[in-house]
Amino acid sequence: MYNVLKNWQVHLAFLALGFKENFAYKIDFLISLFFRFSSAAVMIFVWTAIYLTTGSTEIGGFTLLSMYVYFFIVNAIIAMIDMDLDGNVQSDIYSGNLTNALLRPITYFTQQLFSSLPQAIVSTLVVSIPLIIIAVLIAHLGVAALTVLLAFIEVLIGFVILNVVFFTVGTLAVYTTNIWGASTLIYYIFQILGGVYVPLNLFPVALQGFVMFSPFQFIAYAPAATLLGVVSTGVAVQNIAVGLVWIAIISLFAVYWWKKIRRKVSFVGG
Amino acid sequence: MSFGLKNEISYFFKTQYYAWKGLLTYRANASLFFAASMLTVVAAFITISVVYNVSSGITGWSYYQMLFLAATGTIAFWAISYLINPWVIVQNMQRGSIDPYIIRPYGRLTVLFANNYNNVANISVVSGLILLAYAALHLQFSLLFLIEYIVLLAVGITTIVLFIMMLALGAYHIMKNANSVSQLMNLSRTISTYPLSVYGILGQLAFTLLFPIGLAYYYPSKVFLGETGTLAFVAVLIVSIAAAVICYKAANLLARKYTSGGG
Repeated sequence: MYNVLKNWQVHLAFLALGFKENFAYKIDFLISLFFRFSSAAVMIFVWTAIYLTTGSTEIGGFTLLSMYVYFFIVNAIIAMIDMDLDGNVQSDIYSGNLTNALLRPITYFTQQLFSSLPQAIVSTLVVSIPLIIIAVLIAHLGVAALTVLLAFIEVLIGFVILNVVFFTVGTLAVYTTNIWGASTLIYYIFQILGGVYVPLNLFPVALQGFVMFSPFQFIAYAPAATLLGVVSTGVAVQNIAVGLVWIAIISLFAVYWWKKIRRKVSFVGG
Repeated sequence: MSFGLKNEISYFFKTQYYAWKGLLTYRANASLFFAASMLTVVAAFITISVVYNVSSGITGWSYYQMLFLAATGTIAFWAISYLINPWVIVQNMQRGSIDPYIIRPYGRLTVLFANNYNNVANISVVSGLILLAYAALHLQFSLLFLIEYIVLLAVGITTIVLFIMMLALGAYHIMKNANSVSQLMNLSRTISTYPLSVYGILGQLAFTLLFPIGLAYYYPSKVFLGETGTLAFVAVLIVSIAAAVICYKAANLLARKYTSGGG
């Protein structure tokens, strides 16, 4: 059985290579991160206008200030967990690099994970942490250590779910050559049902029941709602249990699918 | 050296024909593309519907007016995305893949436009049109306003396409990469779902003169809804055309200064 800890130096090498690739064009990379940062600012403007029009201090349990914080946190989380694994896998399949990757004494998923991790780390440092600091400062957010821990676990769950799903989507390149369609489809579903555009508790009640038990809420809404106190500690623990079940289901499927794909790999290039 | 406008247009459309043919060869792939493209409009529809369900929305914009605006923004954004993909342009330049096409007797900008495209963006335009029609059915408008809307939309899209091309070429010359320009386009997708008035006076000026995305969706929508007079229509048209000319000249100059990154 492959031992991740035993081969830490190999993973570190992939991590270092990923950093170098990300920083090949430093200024361009930093400017692109700034635009990601600006997405939160757009939602701030929009919701300020909505609250002013409505003339109410609270909409769906969110005050204007907590709505600001919600979008700061959501954008911070998205920047942390989105690693473009699907694009990297497709690129390897399309170019034939997958052959070399499979020959290495390290699992392909682990290679991809550690190669893509620098993007998440840099986004976290440059985008997520400043957004969270702003959120904490403007809302005078004082949360208990337990709440932070629960939110962190939910972020980790979202990280695993999103990247296992997109790794699996990336392997579809074996059948479709280009996975942009499938990738964008799944991405939009995650965004819409994950609370990236609108907090999930503003959805119609009938739809809330579905999304609250879906894996999508973990990419944005669940951690943000936990941190803001929109959901209680008990509900957060329940969400984590649901999330762990989804991780098990998605991971089992991903393992089964990967074994099936390995037998069918064919390449466009290479 | 250029071969004449007619030949340049013909070259552009021939490349599009073969691009579509290539896309539709892989039917499963194409089906997924089309389904994904429809979702962009669904996201806007859901967001606006939820907002107007729980609140009064945005001052001066009814539910159907907001849907119309979002549909216009979707059409504009995906029409722009179809015609220009800054990441692909710069990647082709980095690798020298554009070099065999540059030596052909067509304008450099024509070559760049013809060899970078996003076929499936057209489907998002279609789904935007569906949402537009749905919203328009619930609004009152006149034929004159519709014509003015189409004119401003077309000119606005042209302006933004040339603007993005100018930015992409500038990014290549300065940074040899254009990921930031792609991210700017992604940001404009979010911006173009909502009226410029939410960004305040400074924001409105910025998105009209600095990054003129407003010319492609906001002002055409205002004209259609009859909220501006003829003078405003003419003023916006002049600004759009002037911006398009400036961006064209700048993009052309930058394209002529292209040096291959590889190949």
